[in-house]
Amino acid sequence: MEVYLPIAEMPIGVLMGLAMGGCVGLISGLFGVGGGFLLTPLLIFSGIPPSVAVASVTPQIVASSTSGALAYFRRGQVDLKLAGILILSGSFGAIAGAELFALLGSLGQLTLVIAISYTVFLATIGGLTLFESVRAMMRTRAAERRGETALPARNGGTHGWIHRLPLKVRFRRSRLFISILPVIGLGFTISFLGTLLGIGGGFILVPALIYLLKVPTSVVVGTSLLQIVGVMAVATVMHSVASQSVDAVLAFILMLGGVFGAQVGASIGRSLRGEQLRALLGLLVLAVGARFALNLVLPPASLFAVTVVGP
Amino acid sequence: MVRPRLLLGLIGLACLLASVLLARPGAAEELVVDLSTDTIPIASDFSGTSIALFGVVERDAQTVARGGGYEIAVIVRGPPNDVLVQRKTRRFGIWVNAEGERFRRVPSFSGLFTTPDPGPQLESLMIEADAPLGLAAKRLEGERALLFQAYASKLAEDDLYVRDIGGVEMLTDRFFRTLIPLPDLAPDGRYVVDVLLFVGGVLLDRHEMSFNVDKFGFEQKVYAASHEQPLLYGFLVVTLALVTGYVGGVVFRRN
Repeated sequence: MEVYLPIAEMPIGVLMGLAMGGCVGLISGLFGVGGGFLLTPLLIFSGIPPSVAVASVTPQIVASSTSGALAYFRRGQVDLKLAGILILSGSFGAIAGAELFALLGSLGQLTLVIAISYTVFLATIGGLTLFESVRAMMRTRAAERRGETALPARNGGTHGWIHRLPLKVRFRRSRLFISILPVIGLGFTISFLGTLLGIGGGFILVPALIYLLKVPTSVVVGTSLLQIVGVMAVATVMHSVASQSVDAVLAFILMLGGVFGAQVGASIGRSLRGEQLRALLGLLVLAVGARFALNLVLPPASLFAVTVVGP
Repeated sequence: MVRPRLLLGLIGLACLLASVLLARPGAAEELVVDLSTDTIPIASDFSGTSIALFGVVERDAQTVARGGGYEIAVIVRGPPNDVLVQRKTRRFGIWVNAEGERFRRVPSFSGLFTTPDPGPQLESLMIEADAPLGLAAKRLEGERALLFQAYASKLAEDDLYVRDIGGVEMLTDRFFRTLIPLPDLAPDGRYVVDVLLFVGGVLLDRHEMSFNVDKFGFEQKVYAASHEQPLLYGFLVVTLALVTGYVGGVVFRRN
């Protein structure tokens, strides 16, 4: 069965759309990540125009993060003040991202920028994840050989300069008294990148909150999820206004698949070990990055690019 | 699909004959043309169709007898777009889009149909069929011509660029017919149809008309909303996402 996508202006197999949403949902449930960074490339590789892919994954991320954010909120594991500031500064990032997105589209350079950004981004994240998890596995094995229990990895450096910045604000829930500047910077940057690339950014935000701002792990996931819901909602509206490339039909198909897949993934994920999971995720991310890199380097099928810039 | 089209064709033919009978006398040679339909609806299962054009070269008693036959050309141009065409080049080892050329108001569907032997005016017809809507036709040169060619082949890939020499069929020496094929990707909007009558390379008459391709149903509503009320559309999509996410969470927690 096929359904016509009104904004992408092409038909798509409903089952294929559900399967893609489902697979990515499964992966996101399995690894505890949003999955936008996999879903957007998947759509691009299956022939959806990159602009529509990015803009339509944005509301899908809202849907897939909502139930999680609510669950953490009910358990009181959300720092509302921190999330509020992140969302507020993130809204500006989303506006800037959507404007740049529309501008690049009218210059005919959007596809290239998305491809390069994804290559760099996925290679970095994938490489780091793989490296970190392999090191953790080796450490565990070495510790076992010595007959000790493995010590958890130490946090990164103390980043004292971040805590010396002015304009300090108290975050009661996180038991923090830190400058508001890095919070704003973080919110803006991640939302900007997320809006431009169609990713939630939880992948970067969670480690940044833990290592840079020292947010306790008990509230970090819930706060990050709430931030993603808020910022991606703003980004959806901004994409709708700036480039009119949000395809509601495509987004809905992806949401249905994603919501279902995430539940299955989460239940499978509980039976696997953390480091192995992360190594697997790293490999997956590297593979998608490599695919983007190949597309950049290999001669294209058509030597011309045609972009409709106006009616 | 064939039967309604045939029916429409017959209706068109009937209208045409009526108009021939009622036509005013005076001009030497005149085109009387009609289309089988003036609206093509696109629903979600649209897989392409074609539209029939019927015409008669009408002449009165004083018209001098012509040695050669008539040459008919039909130019069809879809709703205009501004497009940017870029050549991909290799820089620093990766493929990037060069600066490129912009074309204003070029047809999103371009069709040229002629009688089997269109004569010396064929080339100017080709240029006219490519011409931006509402702007004068001119020959393109150099890189610009090449990039326009790339745009045309992009259209041709989706059957949106049709050059059919012999596509206009003379049923008698005055009565002609042509089928305009519209593929599944035909953009919606107003299509302008220009019919030209030549004898021995001399333009005797031309007749312009149009038909519409309209999306309708759910797809049309979504598309129209996204372009006419983008802010509201954005809020609706967000609401849809929040509700789907919430309901999904509730459903699966119970299980």
